[in-house]
Amino acid sequence: MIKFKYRYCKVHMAKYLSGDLSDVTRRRIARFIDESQDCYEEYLRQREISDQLQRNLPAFGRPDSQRLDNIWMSLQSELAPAATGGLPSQSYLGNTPIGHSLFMALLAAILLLPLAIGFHTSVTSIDLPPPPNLVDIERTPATRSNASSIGVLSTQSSFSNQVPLLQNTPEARFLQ
Amino acid sequence: MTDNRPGGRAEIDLIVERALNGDQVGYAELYERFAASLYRLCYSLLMNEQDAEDILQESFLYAFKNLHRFDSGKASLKTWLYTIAVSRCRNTYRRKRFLTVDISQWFGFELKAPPADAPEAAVIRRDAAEIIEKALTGLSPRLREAIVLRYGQGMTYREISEVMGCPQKTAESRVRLGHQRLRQSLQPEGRGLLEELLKVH
Repeated sequence: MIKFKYRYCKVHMAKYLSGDLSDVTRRRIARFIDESQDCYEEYLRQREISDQLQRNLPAFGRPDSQRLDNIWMSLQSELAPAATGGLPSQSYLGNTPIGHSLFMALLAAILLLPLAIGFHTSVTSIDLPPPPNLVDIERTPATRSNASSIGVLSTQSSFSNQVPLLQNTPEARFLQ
Repeated sequence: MTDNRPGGRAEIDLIVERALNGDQVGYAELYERFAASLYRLCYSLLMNEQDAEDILQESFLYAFKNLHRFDSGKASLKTWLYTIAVSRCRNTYRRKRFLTVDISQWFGFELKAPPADAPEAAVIRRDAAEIIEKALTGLSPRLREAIVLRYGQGMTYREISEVMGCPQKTAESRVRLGHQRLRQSLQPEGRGLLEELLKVH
């Protein structure tokens, strides 16, 4: 039972000293401290440590105002390029929808720029294959007559639309 | 529940709002309110003035650049700033632990400490703050954070849990464990010794 009391006190003592325990637990610890010598000694030891910490730690590394001023100065100089006013404002470009769309448009422009500028030059710089040799087409009488008739048609059509239509008919002889 | 006391949460929120609306004085006010306590926190965790300065500057720089992200409904500005600083402190002592390698552990021999003064003379020279500083350095980073936030900054267990990013019960047990470890390490100095030293100084 004594061991249980001691262990219970040891576990809850820090919170007991800082007043963070519920009423029931706090009263139980107080009773154990009164009843048990071990609990009382544990209470004294932990109270001493708590007092030391509460007295000394808040004064630990207390900075002088000159040091803090220097940090503030360098902080201001680091923040200066972030915005026009020196310190950052809420309308940070990258975090607004407009900012995002501007960024995306800029990105798209950068990606398309080489295509827009260098595409034609890259295409023209490629050596084209040599032009094909002319094939000597054998002209047959049929092709020759076709060619002449086409020629006749084309020249006559410029003067009259009616004549080409009549040239191969029997009536055409009378016209000449 | 809003805290309308001077310097309370509602007032801080107003200053934040002003700063976000472009009022430069708002930033200066926020710095003035929190810089000293934040520096003390950083120093207590790192035990180094230069590191504490660097972390303080980095923390404020980050906080001011991201002030629009701060949600007063989730946490107080103090807790938010402390979370930023503690996270940077953790990075620093992680980096330092990596850099400061104990050569004696590698080669398996023990480096002897320089001869110390006689115990009495040493005790007279040291003051209470040094003894506690030494005891704190002996704690693991997590226990040190809990003790510093609890006793150095007077935070509640709930605030400690928010800053340390752990459940409240874990924060409580860390404070308790840290307390016990400190009791063990400070006991060899003798009970009441610190009291006497404080009286002398």
